[in-house]
Amino acid sequence: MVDTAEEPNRGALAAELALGLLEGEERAQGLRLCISNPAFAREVEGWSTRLAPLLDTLPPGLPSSRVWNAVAARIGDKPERPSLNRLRAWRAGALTSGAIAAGLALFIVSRPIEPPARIPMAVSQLTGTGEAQVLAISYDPQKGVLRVGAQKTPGDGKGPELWVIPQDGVPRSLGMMTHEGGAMPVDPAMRPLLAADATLAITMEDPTTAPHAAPSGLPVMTGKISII
Amino acid sequence: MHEASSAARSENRALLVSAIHLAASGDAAGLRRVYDLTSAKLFGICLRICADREAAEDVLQDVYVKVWRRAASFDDTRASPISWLAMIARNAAVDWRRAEHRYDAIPDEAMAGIADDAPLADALMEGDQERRRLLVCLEDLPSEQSGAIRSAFLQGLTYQQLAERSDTPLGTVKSWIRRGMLRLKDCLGHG
Repeated sequence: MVDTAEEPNRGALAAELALGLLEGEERAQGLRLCISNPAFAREVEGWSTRLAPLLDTLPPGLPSSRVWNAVAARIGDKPERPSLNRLRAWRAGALTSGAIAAGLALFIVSRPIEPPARIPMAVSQLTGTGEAQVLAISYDPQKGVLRVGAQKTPGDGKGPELWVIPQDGVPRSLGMMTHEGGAMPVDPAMRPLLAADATLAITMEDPTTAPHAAPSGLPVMTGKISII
Repeated sequence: MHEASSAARSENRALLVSAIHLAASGDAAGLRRVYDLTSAKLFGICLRICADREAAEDVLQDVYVKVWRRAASFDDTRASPISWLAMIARNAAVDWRRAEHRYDAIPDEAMAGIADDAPLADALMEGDQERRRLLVCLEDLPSEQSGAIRSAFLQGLTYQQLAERSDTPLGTVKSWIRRGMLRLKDCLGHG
């Protein structure tokens, strides 16, 4: 057997422990020494620090989004938000689907009648990939209600889910929209996100599992919010 | 993370340190930021050591839960944040392999293919100071010594496994490692 724990071999033992070369009783002995002898523990740590840059030479990889979802669930965070990479892909897709990018014309309407004082109101016109698909959405911050126009039904069991994408680039679901349009109350937590320059987007999602933590596909419509 | 100017690197480092501190304060957004900044790199480490995508994702999940729990103990005066994270990932992946007895899964070129782990000249030129010194020092060692150290560290092999894989007596492998580590320490400077 090996003379692991003897004084002259302490240095070697620290290195071996850091590398994970030891097994069984030798390893147990080394770990016990770590606990009882802080100087030895620091030596082991020193080896880890010395060798860690070697890990820099390994090629990176992209984990699937299930990893973060599971981490978030285990640390008690709100369920999944899409990873930045996935989100970038999603936004890049949204911007390159020609009609959307080209058709991003905002339109601003004046608030109809009534306002006793000047109340800001957010409006967005969403332009779709299909021909001449336009959808106007207005938001009344006083009531926290979105008013949405009617749209066609895709007829594949999926329904339109509305997302707001604030400056941080992370889409948050505002909920499923009905095809006939109408009033759509906004969760109070989401209301501050409905601000100028935030993006609205619609994706087609399974209504039975809504609201979703992240979009499952590319948006069919997007538009920016303007405050008027 | 690609190599960038040293200014960009120290900025990244500061970002990462502040994200770890935020996580240490119990804010999940901090951990999320750590994840966004480092998951590709840490996944690369897990993937390499586990040699199995699904397992590597499970291990990566454990890694970030560990980071969450240990964030408060991170001391940026003692280790660079990325080294700290990389070691947590490396050790978790090695533990998984041991628990799974996955040594048969290691490709046969584990010892012979050590050259695969050798850095490209570019990486040598652009790498940060610590890494460059380590690689230069490793290169100075006799190839059986540096090869054994690399295999132990990057693949989590024990003495016994190193001996079996290289078809070398256990005592010889031990002396490769011990001499190699001693010379490495001298080369890197004590501390």
